[in-house]
Amino acid sequence: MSQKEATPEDILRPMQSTGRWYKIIFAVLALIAVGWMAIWGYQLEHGLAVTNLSDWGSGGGVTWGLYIGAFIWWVGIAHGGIIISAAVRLFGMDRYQPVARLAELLTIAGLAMAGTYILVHMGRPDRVVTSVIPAYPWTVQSSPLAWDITVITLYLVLTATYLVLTLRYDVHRLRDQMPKKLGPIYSIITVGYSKKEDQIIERMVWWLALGIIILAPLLLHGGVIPWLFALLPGMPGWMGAIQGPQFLSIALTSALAGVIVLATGLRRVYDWNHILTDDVIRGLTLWLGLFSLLFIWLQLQSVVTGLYAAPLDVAAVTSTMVTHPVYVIAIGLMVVVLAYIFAQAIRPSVFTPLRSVAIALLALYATLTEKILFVVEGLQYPTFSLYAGVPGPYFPSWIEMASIAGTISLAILIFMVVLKVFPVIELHAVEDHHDDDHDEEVTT
Amino acid sequence: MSTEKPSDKTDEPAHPYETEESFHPLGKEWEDRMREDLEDTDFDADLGMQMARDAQRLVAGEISEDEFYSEYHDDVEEEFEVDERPVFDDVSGAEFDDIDDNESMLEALRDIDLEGDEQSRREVMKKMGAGAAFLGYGVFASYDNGEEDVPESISGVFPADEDEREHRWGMVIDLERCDGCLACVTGCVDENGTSTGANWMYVFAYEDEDNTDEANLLVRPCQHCSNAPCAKVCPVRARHTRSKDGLVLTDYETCIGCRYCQVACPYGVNYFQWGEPNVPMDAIEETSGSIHQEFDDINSPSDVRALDEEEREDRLAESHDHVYDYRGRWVDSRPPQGVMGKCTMCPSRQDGHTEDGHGEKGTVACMDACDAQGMSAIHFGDLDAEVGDEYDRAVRYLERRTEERRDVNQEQSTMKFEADHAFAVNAGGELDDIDDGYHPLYYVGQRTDGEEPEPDAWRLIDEDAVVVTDSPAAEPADDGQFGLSVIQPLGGTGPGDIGALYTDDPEQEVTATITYDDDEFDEEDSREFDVELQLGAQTVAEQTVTLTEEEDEVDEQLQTSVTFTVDGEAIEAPEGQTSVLFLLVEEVVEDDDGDETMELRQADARPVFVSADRPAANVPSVDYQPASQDGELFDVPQILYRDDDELVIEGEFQYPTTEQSWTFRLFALEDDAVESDVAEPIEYDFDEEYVSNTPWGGQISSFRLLEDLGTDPNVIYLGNEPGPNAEQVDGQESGINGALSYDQIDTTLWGEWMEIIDDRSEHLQYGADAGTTVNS
Repeated sequence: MSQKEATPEDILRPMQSTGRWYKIIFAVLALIAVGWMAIWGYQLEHGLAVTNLSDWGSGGGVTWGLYIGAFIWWVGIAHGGIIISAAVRLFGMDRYQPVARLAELLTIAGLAMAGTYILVHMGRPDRVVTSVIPAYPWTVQSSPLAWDITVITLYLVLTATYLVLTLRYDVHRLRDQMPKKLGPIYSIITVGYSKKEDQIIERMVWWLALGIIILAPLLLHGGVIPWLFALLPGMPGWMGAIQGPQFLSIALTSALAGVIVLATGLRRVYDWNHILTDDVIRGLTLWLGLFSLLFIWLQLQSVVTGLYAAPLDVAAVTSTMVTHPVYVIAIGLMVVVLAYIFAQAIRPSVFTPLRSVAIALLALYATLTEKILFVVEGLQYPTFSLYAGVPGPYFPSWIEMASIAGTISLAILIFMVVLKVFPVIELHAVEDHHDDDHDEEVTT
Repeated sequence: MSTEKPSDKTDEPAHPYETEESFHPLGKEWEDRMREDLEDTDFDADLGMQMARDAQRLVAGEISEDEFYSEYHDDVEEEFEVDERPVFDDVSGAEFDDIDDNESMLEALRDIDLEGDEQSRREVMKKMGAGAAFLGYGVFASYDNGEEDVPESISGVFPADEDEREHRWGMVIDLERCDGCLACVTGCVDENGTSTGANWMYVFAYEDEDNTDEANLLVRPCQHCSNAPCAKVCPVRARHTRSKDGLVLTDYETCIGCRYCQVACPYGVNYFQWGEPNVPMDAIEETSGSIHQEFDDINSPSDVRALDEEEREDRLAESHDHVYDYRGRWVDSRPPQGVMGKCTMCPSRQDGHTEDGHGEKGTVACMDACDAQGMSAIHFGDLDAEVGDEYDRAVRYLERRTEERRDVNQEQSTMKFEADHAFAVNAGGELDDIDDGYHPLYYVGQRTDGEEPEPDAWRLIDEDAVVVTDSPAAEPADDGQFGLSVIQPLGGTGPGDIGALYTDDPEQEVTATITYDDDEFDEEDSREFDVELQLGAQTVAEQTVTLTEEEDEVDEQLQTSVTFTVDGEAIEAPEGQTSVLFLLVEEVVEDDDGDETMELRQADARPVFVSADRPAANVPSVDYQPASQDGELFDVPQILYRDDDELVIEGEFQYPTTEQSWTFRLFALEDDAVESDVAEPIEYDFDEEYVSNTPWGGQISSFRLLEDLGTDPNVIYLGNEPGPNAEQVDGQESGINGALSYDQIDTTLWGEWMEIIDDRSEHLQYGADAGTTVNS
């Protein structure tokens, strides 16, 4: 399959030179990001009145909108990323080892963006530290948001630890080929490193991966994130046990899509086709298909349950949802994604990396819009629907929409910076490369 | 020995049992005996006596149990090397069998067998120290809540248990009294300075075609739920529930504006401060009252909290502060930008800051406004209270509106049948035997089942009052054109609209109004009438009146008023009795042949009481036992004429079962309390109607909103509950008499900054034009 052998030099390539295109793209993205920061500044000054949000009820609007929808999307990508990486390690899926670190970095970037969205959507971000910490021992007993904060922080710590531990091996060995001026960073990463620790680290990281795999569905994107919504009886569009699995399926769908886009894009730029091989991309695409199927299947459950003989409030929100253009398009796109992947599964020749990127982008768009609609429609159709202002109309203001551009730019920028500092492909993945020739046919 | 002598502690005020001689209720001898016994031991008798004295103070309620136990901790440890006295926070392992719910902590602890648990208590004491025992006490209070002890600075999410808390503030709202005038909305806005569109108090007019034809109303404050989802979900505990009285409040200093409370609340009572508040904070401080304005050294919320409790209370009360509550937390009036707000049930009032002497405790602004309108649909009070306790307005109203009408044999109380009755008044000349004047009228019945009625067994169904007289020799005039206004109203037990004519007053004025439709005047510019006042059969005044189109036109009618002067001394009617004053008018009448003649016709008649002095007309009455079933008389006229034999008075009566048979009478009561028949019953129209299977008395339905969501709301509604397909309509267009729209009402205090509107989203504008003013 592969033409060349993978070498450590391959993964160092991004750090060794910076092309013109890199600078242009960086500049453009930085401009967008800074531009959005300025817009955020405007919002900080005038308050959230600048959005199209309003009180639900007599206020005639919805109080959570694009910001929260996008928050869920980013957090889903983040959770999905580390699950992918942990799964690769736990289940010994060597084929995908090259994407493992990309997935972890996706988690870090995703969590950073999710955290940004939290700050953006709050009325008083200046108080987030001073208000959360003193009350935490008590709020963590009762508030799903406090659980959210706990678990996301835990997640960030686990992922960062995981990342740092696995980086030590790479940095130590490749140090002399990495940029000298970043020396201090490398020193910190490898402090106290000795080769003896490799075995121990392997063990530790394995356990971390196990912890993450267990935690993720139970507590993270299959737990506290959906519980923010699923525990509220006054909002029938949200309430219910299906949100746990539903959110988890979306997390993996969007994370896999993100990894596909990243991997395909990066291999093109840095000539990594022999590392991030077609097999890898094709395999990731098939996994995307599996989780997309799960996502659609769970949506089907909600729809059928909500339409057949549901209580009036549930029926109201479900019937609105299934006829809403955003929903129809999102699900339609996911069906397209599924159909393509199904075709690719039956006939592998259908696959091209470009097509994978295309459907990955469709999946990302579909999951983002579906999540925003989920948040908004939940609030538009409460059980207490007596108000003339219910359902209250909502379409994101351009200030809110700018945040999507802003955060995507920032996330890519984070990647672009990391590219210059650390190898985004594990050294292990290219060291053992000679085994790849003996890989079995893709059976996922 | 401690350095402080026990006697040093005697400076505190003496408790009620303490006399000069002894602190013990059993007196000096007992005290001395106890001291002797103590001195027989190896331990410090002074310490023992001092502790005993303070124990008496504890029993008298002068010191708290925490103070008592912690005060002597060091001394006890020194003396005995251990302090094994009961500490409240460690109750595991103790025997609770003997605890009675009504006992105080002290009594309860006496009953507990604590022997088995010395070790852990000592350890707990070591860990926490005596001061921590204060906090530990709170754990017991919230034990049943399953909630850990929460410090006052953070606050919990439930009210304290019923025996621990002081109040459970809530409302009883009578939707049948509400008329949608929105005065409560205005009252709340005026009280709190909320922003445009933030209607903490809100009233729906709604249509519910599944259930009723007409529109209905629903008044929606915050429900201050005892199981408030908004408090549970707050990630910073800015939204919390006060344990002492169950108020669910928002700490404006802590809130981070995540709006999760708004999302979790199923009622939609939360209003976020999206932008800059409309009403500036210093306007609120100046108008509503603020501790900051009054005291220069208090400039921030932390300054307020830093004060000790008593001083804070005093200062907040002195400044009539409307921003902080008794804990010094910023929870009242409107929130600042980026923070959530909602109905607070006026904690400044409940904590006694707004009016001297806690005058406004137990009231809320919306209720005051509703009372001022005369509606009194909102009743705020302590829902834990019983009728007769303080702040019992809500429970008192609820009881009054839902109590059974009569005490009824349960067997009878399942079905109702209605029978219509009619009485032909004077059909047998009954009125001839009844004197002129005022008489109470009684509609009575008794169960006879085919037998003859017994004279003393009549039960009262309904009553009214009438005046009996002869009519003047005049046919009635056309209705509505002439009206006698009421003369001076009479006091006493007569009906309110009997006037008085005094025989010692030679110049009494009686006014009459004359109204004619304009089209009667087509051919003439003016018309002349002869009008006469006749008291009984005697003419007491007369006049000629001219109506002209020029002078007397009012609203497409011609109207004028006529004043008669009556010479009381010339009155011939007997004093001390009610007579009838007639207004007679000479009117053009057309007979069958088309000839027109002028005839004297009766235009109006009013009962008057004729008397020399200014009496109270105390009329005779009889105390009948009430009938066990409901019934009523309809449209009883004020005056019964003896020569009218076509009058029929109708009544209605409800039977529990068709197997009973009743006899009915209509009685007038004479001056000597003799019952006289007024009429014969002519119809006995039995209308069988199965009304309901619910208990007799027709209890009004009460409900709570969204009760099955488990929020345990503290607003009880009387009236109709909106169904699932109910929809809000505009108040003014609802057809409800008196209902207004939100754009018709306005704030009285904050008009230069904000206005009252309904749909806030229209007001929170942000257009594509970045220059658009951002409202809030």
